[in-house]
Formats: sequence, C-alpha cells, structure tokens
Amino acid sequence: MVYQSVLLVDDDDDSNFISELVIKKSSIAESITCVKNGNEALKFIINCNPFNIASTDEKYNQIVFLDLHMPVMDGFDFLAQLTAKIPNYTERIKIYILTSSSNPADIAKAQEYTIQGYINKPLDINKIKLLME
Amino acid sequence: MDQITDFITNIFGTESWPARWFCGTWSDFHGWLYIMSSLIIWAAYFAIPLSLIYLISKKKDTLPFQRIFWLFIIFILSCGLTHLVDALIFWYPVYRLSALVLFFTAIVSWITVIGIFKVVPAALTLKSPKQLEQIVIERTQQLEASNDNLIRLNKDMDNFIYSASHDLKSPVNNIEGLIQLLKLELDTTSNKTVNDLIGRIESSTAKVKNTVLNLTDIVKIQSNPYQDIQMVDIRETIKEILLENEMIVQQSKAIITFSLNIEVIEYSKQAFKSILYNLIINAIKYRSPDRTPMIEVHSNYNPYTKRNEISVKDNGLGIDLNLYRDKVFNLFKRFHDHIEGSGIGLYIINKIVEGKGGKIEIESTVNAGSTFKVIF
Repeated sequence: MVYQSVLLVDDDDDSNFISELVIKKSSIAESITCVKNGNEALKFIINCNPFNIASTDEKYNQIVFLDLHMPVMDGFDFLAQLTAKIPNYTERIKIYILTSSSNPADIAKAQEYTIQGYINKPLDINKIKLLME
Repeated sequence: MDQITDFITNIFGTESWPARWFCGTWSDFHGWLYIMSSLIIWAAYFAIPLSLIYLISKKKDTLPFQRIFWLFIIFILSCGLTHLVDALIFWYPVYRLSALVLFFTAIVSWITVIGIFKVVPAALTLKSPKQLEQIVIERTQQLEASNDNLIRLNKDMDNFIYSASHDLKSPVNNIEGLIQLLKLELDTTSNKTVNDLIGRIESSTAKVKNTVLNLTDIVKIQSNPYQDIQMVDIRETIKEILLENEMIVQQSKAIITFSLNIEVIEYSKQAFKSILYNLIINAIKYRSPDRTPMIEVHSNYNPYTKRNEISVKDNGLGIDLNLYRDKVFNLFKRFHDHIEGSGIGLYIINKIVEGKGGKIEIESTVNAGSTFKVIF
C-alpha cells in the first residue's frame, strides 16, 4: 500500500529527519512533507485538500504522523480543528500519533479523536511494516 | 475506754431505752408519719444508688470520674441506712447502732466532699457533646483542605515529571533512531571497531531510556492507576509473561514449574502481571551460574489469614538477609553488581502490593536461593 502523501508534524528537526529517512527507505509514499506545528499542518491539508480532487481519480491517501507537544498549535488542538473543519477526514486521511510521551493523560486524550494508532518514537522500518499490515 | 468497749460489745443492745413508741407521747398519726417518711427516704436513698450502679455498668470505661460515682453510691446508701434505723427505733431502740451508722455516714460524706473538690477542675474542662461536634467539624474541614492541597501538589509533581521525562526522552529517541539509520549506512560486518562502537552507543542509550521509563513507572504507581480489577487467571498470566520474554527465558535455560492451588485471583490484571513479571524476571536474572535455574511458582489460599498467597521460589544467588533485610524494597537498592538491573522492580511491586493492603515476605539463603511470597 503506497500513500500519495505523508505529512510529518513535529517541531523537532531531528525527529522529522529520522522519520523522513525511514519513510523514504520503506518506500510507502510518493511525497513527504514536514511541518513544524498543528497550524502549518492544517494549512497544508486544507490547501491540497484531497476532497477537491475530481472524484474520477483514485482515492487520495494521506498519512499524517502527528507529534503531540508543539508550540503555536499542539497535536490535540490540531485534531480538534481538523475534526471541526473537515469532519469526514477519516475517509482520505490516516492519522498516527508519533510521540515520546507515555503519559496516560495524553493517551486518553488522544483516544477522544479518530486516530489510526499511537506510536512511540523513534519511527523505524519495523514499525512502518507493522503499520502497513 | 470502758465506754467504747461497752459500746461495741452491746452494739445491738436495746435494754437502756424504751422503744420510741413508748418514749414520750406519740400519736398514731405522728408516729406513722415519722416512720413512713423515714422508710420512703430510705427507699429513695436505695433506688438512687441502684440507678447509678446501672449507669456505671452500662457506660463502663467511657464514664468519667467513676470513683466519685462510687463515693456517692456509698454515701447515699449509708444516709438511707440512717433513716431505716431511725424508723426501726420505734420498735427496737438500737441507739448504739444508730450512732455508729451516723458516724460512718459522717466520714463518708466528708470523703465525698473532698472528692468533689478534687474533681471540679477536671469536670470544668469537660466539653459538651455540642462543643465536641463543633471541634470535629473544624478538624474535618482542616483535613479536607489539607488533602485537597496534597492531591493538587501530587498532580503538579506528576505533570512535572512527565514533562521532564518527555524532554529527556525526545533526544534519546532521536539518538536511537539515528543509530538505526547509521547502522544501515555503515558497513558494520567488516569493520569490527565501528560495530563495537555502535553497539556501545546503543547500549548506553538503552540504559538512559530505561531509567527514564522506570522513573515514569514510579510516578504512575504513586497515582495508583491499577483499577482494572477482575478475576485474573494465574496460569494464563504466567504463560503470557513467559511468552513475552521468551528470549530471556530460553537463554537462561531456566526450568519453570507451577503448582497452583488457586487458579484465579480477584485483582488488577495489570498490577498482578507486573508483580509476577518482576518476581519471575528477578528469579531468572539472579540465577546461579553453577546450576540449572529452577523456578517454582505456587499459589494458595491461606485459611488462617483468609488471604491469597503466591510464592516464587528460585535456586539462584540469594540475598544476605542478615545484612539487607530492611533494605530489600528500597529504591535503587541492588545487591549484585555484576548483573543488569535498575533496582526499581522490587520497589515498584512492593508499592503496588502494599497500596492494596498486602505484603511481600522474603526468605533467602546466600548461594542457595530465595523465595518471595506475596500476600494479597
């Protein structure tokens, strides 16, 4: 399964670097984009809004790897805004939380939204393989 | 002195006086008025002490100033006796007895007066039920405020620790990820030095990560999250643990047996698994190099203490309890330098067990083995 776009949302440059390299090596995406916070992520998704694409095209699939703790707009606020602006985002967008946090409060809060999974950093090829199954 | 001996030997004597009916002129009315009044007083002075005795028997230890109560009882009884004798004298002029009873009553009454004087200061400090209730309400409010404060502080500390550990974990996770990627780029098979260096970096990184994880575990324990109480299948849990740690179990060549007298236990599944995991892993880790590790897990219900018990027995290195009995469950306390370990496992499971009202008991002989018994 190959995704047309992978969006990495994390304010940590090194973390994005690692995730980007791992995704490139596992060849699951046609294009990879990195943004620094929830705000930029929202702009990206809305701009290349998959729901604008003509319906004759194949399904546009997007994966988002979302960090939780970022400045400007964190992961939770992003999810809230996304749900508000594009309530049916789950049709085309899969969101995975990718974080260093094992705080049960964070995990519980994340469950309030429709997400595909909660992954602990760092991302590696094995974890990607597991996701694709 | 003769008078006194005469008095005592003739205490019941009546010959020296006429019966009161015949002493002077007593009309029937007058006489009986005197007699009946005396008898009624005697009856009351008998009933009052009886009620006091009843009160004492019912209140037992909670009645203050019990000695005074008894003094009153004796005092009133003897007062009553004087009036009884007074009525009796109408027929039997036992005037000597009468004097003796009066004398006895005089002594007792002044003992009572002194007793009351002594007790008045203490009696003045006694608080009425209303006052006591008010004090209880105030104290409870103070406690509740203190409690709320503690909960808030605890939460603040928890958040701080999560925050700090997250900030530590982020770069560590990055190092981990970068090493994996580095390994893919480098030719580690032919260059032994590179291989060794990378291996050591990985190992140090893992230690840092482990320490941070352990610290967050301790924080989680403090907030007592193990609420998932259910009927836990003991056998299944042990099998899960062995499966999840297959590599360590196989490497150690440990032989693990179980004899379960109880199959299920009502407990938090997560907590139970944590406890068993720590005990079994310890038994494997601290095995003796001289012999095949044999680990036995027993479960039973103790009918005397009415509690479930689980023991994990091993034939490993053992702990010198003479030296370390009090320190075994301390944080970061380790007894064997040459074996991997953070010293947190026993601390954590002890906290869990004690937090739920249980206990862990240890028996151990150096170089023979240890038995850890968990009483739930």
